[in-house]
Amino acid sequence: MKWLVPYTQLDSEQLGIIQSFKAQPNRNLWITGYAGSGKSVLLIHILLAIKERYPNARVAIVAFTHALIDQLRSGIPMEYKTGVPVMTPYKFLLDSTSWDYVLVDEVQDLKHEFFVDLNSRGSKVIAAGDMNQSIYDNTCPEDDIIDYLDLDIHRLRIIHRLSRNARMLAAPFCEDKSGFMSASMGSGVELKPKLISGRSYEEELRWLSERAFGYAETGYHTAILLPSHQDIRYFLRNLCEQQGVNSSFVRDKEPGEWEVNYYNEINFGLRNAGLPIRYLGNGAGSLKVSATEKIVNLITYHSAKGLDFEVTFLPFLTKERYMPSGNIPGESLFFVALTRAREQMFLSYNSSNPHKFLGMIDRSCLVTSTAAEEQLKSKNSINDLF
Amino acid sequence: MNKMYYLPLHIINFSTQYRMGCISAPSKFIMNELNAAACPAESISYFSGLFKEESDVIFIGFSLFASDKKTGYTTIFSEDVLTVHPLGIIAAQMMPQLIDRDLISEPVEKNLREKLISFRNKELAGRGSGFLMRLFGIEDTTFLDGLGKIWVRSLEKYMTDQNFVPATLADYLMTYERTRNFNKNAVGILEDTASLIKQLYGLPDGYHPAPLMGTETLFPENSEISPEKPIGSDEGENHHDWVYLRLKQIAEVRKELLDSKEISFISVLERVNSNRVFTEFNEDLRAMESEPERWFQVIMIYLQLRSKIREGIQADNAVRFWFFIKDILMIMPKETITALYLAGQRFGINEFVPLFLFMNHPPKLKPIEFPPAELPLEHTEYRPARNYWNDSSKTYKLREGASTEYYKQKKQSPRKSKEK
Repeated sequence: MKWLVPYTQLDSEQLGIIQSFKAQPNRNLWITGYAGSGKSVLLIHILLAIKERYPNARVAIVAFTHALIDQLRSGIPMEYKTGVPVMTPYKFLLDSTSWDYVLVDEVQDLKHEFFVDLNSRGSKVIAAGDMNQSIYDNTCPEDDIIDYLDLDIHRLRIIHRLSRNARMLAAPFCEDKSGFMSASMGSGVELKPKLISGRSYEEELRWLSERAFGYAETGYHTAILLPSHQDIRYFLRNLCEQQGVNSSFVRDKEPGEWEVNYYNEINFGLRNAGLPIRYLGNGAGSLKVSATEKIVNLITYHSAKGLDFEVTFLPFLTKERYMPSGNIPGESLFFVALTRAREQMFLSYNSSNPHKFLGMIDRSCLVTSTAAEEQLKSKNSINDLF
Repeated sequence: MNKMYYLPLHIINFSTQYRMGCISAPSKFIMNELNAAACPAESISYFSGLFKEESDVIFIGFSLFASDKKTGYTTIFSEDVLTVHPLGIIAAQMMPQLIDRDLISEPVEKNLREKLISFRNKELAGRGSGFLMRLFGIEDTTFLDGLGKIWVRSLEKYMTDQNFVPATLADYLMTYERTRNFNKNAVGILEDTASLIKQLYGLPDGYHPAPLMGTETLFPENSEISPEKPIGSDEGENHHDWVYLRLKQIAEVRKELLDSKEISFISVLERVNSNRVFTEFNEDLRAMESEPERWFQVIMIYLQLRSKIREGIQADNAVRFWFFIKDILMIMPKETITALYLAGQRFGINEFVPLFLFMNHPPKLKPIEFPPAELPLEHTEYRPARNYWNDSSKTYKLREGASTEYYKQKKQSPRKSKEK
């Protein structure tokens, strides 16, 4: 997977943390840093350092979402794949195995009981996470996590994933705005995000499906991000209608029904309908399959945390769009969604009622256009091919 | 208050020496004042190496030191270090926990910071292109002299502001990014180049040829491309029409390439070399003062290199990168050298670390792909696809045993032998 940066490409900070771990392998670490600073990447490199030094060490990796588990698994070298389980915190708590090392990604999303349990097992802990990306209720506060596990904090200060413009766009939604803006930047793709307005939901949907499917078909790792499961269902029903497909497989979820089964059924329906899009999250869908089959990943803001894609679409940013995060401000959730693109990010909205968050964005870091203009461009003239 | 003296140091260098009780430095590099005029660039290079992040370099302030006239060295005891000055407020915030925070004082003045950053940028860029030239045994780069100055100007603009409005071809090369879902193979690079050319010539989206349209200014202000030569071979044809019609022809080449499935970079490049439309663009772009003549191809090679460098040159793909460049060097030496120079400058030396080993240890040839056993034996002798031997001072040896004789002795096909 492209996200796993090889050892020779790690920056000096990242190398410093690995050296620090090697010097004191019995210390518990917390690797913190802004979105795109390479925390998960470093976690995998520390796993390799552990295995190099202690080949028989029992190591487990814990991650909050299935999509992130999928991504982390893809980064583990083949020789360790079977010996290093990657699991959800729930599964970890059910399992009483004693681990020498537990590597925890998105540590800020976990609850008290996880840390109490982890502490009682006596495992060494290497944690990664950023409090600016805390999007769940009733999670363990930062100070308590540090107290429970006696963690040494190491901060990554270089943002590799985001372009400067994407950072400027996301900054108003970051709790630590000044720190985020002052972080050093890598030398990646410097593309301005695009803000597209549509005159109606239908027009926006038409533009979105054409562009997103086009990117996926050409081999770009593409994702459409929506705030909630309700939005996912609404979008899929409308997409089916637009594409002339029966949407009966996008039914409402039964109470108590397992989400993985529910979304697998939807993905099955999408496949049968010939639509190049699959839901990713809650155990359904796969990053690997989406890359090989050239399909668009449809994912909630929550499930997208910890992941990145070459191209992301954040559509339907209208007034009624609810950013569901309980007591956590919607800004944090939006911040997570805004920081998932490695190359190009598209935001779109209905021009008659834009979401208030769009008013907080510095327009100088965006390219603005309308869905109608964009569609005309692709059909109007041969030179628009370029 | 005692007079203060200053010395630039890399933060790791300082941290290491500080813990050992003293910092040692040649006396001639001690600065009397903390400003740009008092700081020769070579002292930065000498003491801080070449830093990557701004937080890597500090200036230490002290009032007591002991100089040894015989050795020309000065010793500053750790307890006499009074202040540590970062390059800026942001650098101070980013500074790793290697320094006692109480030592950190106000940042250096703006002029000094800018002098150092500018020095760093130029030095890293120069080392990047210089290394690539040495790596591929390229000695004659005099034809790049004129281009070098133009490129450095664009690079400086880009380093300060990634959103600067491009005006010259060099600017467009610096700022161009793919904004469409172009193909992810070599045809995508052709599409990128056409897109860059379209932007350079200022052809608006959705433009249609209109024979009666008035003449418009083709070249952006301050363009490096000479506006003296009118674009378009047919009289009465306006500039936009001229570009439009040629882009249309490129679109046809693109389609043919995609249909033919011959989409390796070399095959796309060869197709470009043999097509008249690209020659016409090159004739127009040749108004650049320096060589080479085929700028369309230079842009393509540069964008391809940029893409590969951005993906990361790693231990497992460095050999392929090396051979890729050797291949295109064979076909288009001047264009490739130019693109290498631009890419080396653009990314700086840090991106090429995995290639350092290749300077004195050229990569071994890849495991040989043997032909089927039924072919006559003379066909089983390994020959590389292209002749790497004659184009460089370096020679590359065949893998031991990879010869006809070896397999004659084995009396069986190498493939069968391998399968066993």
